[in-house]
Amino acid sequence: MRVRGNRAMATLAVLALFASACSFSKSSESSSDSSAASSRSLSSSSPDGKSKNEQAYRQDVGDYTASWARSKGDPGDGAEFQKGLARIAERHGVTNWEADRATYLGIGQGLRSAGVAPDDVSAFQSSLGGDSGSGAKLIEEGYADVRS
Amino acid sequence: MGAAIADVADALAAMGAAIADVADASEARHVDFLYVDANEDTASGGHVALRLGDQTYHFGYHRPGLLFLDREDSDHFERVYTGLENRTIESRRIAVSAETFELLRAGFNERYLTETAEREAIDSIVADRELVERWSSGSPEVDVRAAGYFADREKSVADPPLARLRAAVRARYGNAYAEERIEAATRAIRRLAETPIASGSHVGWHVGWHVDVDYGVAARAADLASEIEAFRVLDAASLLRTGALVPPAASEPDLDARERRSLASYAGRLERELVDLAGSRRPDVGFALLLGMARFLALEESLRTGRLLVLDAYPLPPDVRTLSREEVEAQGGRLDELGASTRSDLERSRVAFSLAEDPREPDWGALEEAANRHREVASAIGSDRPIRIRSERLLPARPARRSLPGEGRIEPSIASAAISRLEREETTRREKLVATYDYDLLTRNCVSEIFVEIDRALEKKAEPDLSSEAREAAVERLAVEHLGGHVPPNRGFEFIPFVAADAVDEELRVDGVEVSYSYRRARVAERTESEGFVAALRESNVLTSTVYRRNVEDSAFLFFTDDAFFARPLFGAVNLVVGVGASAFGLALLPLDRGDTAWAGLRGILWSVPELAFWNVRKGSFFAVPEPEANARPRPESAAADRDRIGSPFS
Repeated sequence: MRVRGNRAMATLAVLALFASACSFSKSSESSSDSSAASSRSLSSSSPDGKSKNEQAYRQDVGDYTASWARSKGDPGDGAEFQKGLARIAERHGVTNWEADRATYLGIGQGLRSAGVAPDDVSAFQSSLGGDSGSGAKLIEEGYADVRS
Repeated sequence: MGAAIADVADALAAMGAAIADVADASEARHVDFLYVDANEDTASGGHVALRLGDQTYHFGYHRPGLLFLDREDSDHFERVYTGLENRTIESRRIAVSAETFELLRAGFNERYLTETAEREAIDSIVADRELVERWSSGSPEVDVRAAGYFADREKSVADPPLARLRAAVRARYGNAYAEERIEAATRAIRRLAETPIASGSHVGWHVGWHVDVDYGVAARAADLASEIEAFRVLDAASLLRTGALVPPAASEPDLDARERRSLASYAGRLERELVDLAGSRRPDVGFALLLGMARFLALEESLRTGRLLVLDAYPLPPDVRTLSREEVEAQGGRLDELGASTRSDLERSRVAFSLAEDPREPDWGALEEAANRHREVASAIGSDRPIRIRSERLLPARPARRSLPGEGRIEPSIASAAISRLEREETTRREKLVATYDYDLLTRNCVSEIFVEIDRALEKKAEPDLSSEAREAAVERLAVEHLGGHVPPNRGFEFIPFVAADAVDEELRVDGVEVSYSYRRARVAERTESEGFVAALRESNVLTSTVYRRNVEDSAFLFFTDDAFFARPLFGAVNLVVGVGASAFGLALLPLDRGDTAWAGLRGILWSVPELAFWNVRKGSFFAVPEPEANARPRPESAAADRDRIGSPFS
């Protein structure tokens, strides 16, 4: 413990002299890395057929929806909720998010995670997929998915 | 190409099997506490991160002194830190239940999404203020993303590819549909001008990490302008502008029969989706429609010519940096190596897309990106022109400037009130941003916030309305239950990355430690194993190393000391002399190189000093590294013991 304390003190001295204790945030904006950036363009498939990218997208949509549902309750007039959804989708390379089933599954997953009652799911269904459209059914599917 | 496809297909199959094995083994979840050792300059204190499956979360310093949560794809994180930054990563694996994993994942991810939204909010307010200012003095212009791919509408040919799409849209929604949408969007823009401030939603601040979406007047105006542009393009069945597509490099093969089938299938699906999209009332329909139509035209042209043609996805300056061949080489890079690496990526992407049963939009995006990156390098090799550099995802969005429709301007009194309110809002937001995310070396850094966020996530399992003391006790109990122990934020020296790693070793349920060695150490170890001591000798210094090439972004030094404990003071002394020499030489070069050599020399002196006392900080860095190889190997000893043996608190 004493050794660790001495090393820590020495480290402190070096830190004070030389620099900061945290990396600059440059891992995501490294200007010199063409090849590392291209590595991100390949998405591998997981065993259940969903790509890593799709899973990450679905999770982001789910977390966003859960956060929205907990703080606001319903999608309101839909525009702001959809705009937020569009921004998240774009980060995953999805611009036509209405045509991507992961969007609706993620919304259902998020509503479940936020503890939204089944009866209140319809507000989001109406706003996004129509009460009886395929989007609405996928929201139900995401909501019902226990693993989600 | 045939053999390459077979090789790549085999590799993909093997990768799928490997992933399946990993997934089977990961039914019991785990989280990894990552300790990244130091390197010079901003990385001198080391770094920590939390890997939660495919995503790695870490706090990074952002100018001008703020600390934000960053999220990376886990493979990408490892590649950047062990490869480009040449730093070894120790992963402490902590077995957790699926519930604990999800608790931590959701906690970190919600914070990440919230912080991102908050940072975007300030940009949104600034954009609103600037638009209102322009709008009060006349009809303003806005950038319409993806409109820059289309030719002027006057140009036309017989039977343009978008005519089929236009016919399908008219058949479903009516012949006057595009005009109706354009008129409706134009009316909506006029309403924005009447009440610009009511059109924003700059209200609220995070309360317990809730995401608020800022959808202000500038974003709404841009969306409406995009909608107008999209329906004009559709109605005119416009063509792509010259230069919108990136042609294949000379070495790229034509599309084979399988690729033609997959492209034709995807083009058909995209066409159907675009007809659906045209009927959508979502706010961002314009950009999605413009990009979708441009991609549809690229696909059609690919099928017509038998060559893979994609949209030029690089942004326009100043959003993209360029480097000349000389600048690339000064950083240790080589265009021919980059070309080979990106060609390999493109080949894999082509095979992956052609094998995909039901490709999604990001799958086409991945192929499009791989083609862009390879062709950018290939073109630079052939012409000596600079290469465009951008490590973020490439999403085609080439903008064109368009005037907002409407006769009027915002009334001066309305504009003045709106501008005042937006200025106040901007000031308040900036102050809150600093107060909430201020970086502090000792109390709020990349280490402390990891533990704060773990506690915050666990706290969700605690009973509500507890007193402060009771809540702290509950969090500690939950941490023991879920992680095997508790590391409180800001305890003693645990704000220092390696001390925090030791604390995790001692306090939490660590099942094992794995090391992903830095790129250079892993390569040197391989070569020493196969070639013997002579390889170690050769790779010990910058001059004869075959792994490392001098990178002007590194300080001036001669010997690597991260894998040379006993020789470290001696090597450090030589490095010190090199630093002094470079500084002196740099003074003479001052008029020629703007002080670059002198600065590298001074930094060389600085990072040599710890080496005299057996400490290593500097390791060198790389411009690019090849595809990741298996650097990970199990640790025979505890991390702390190994670090003691190496002798550096930083390495």
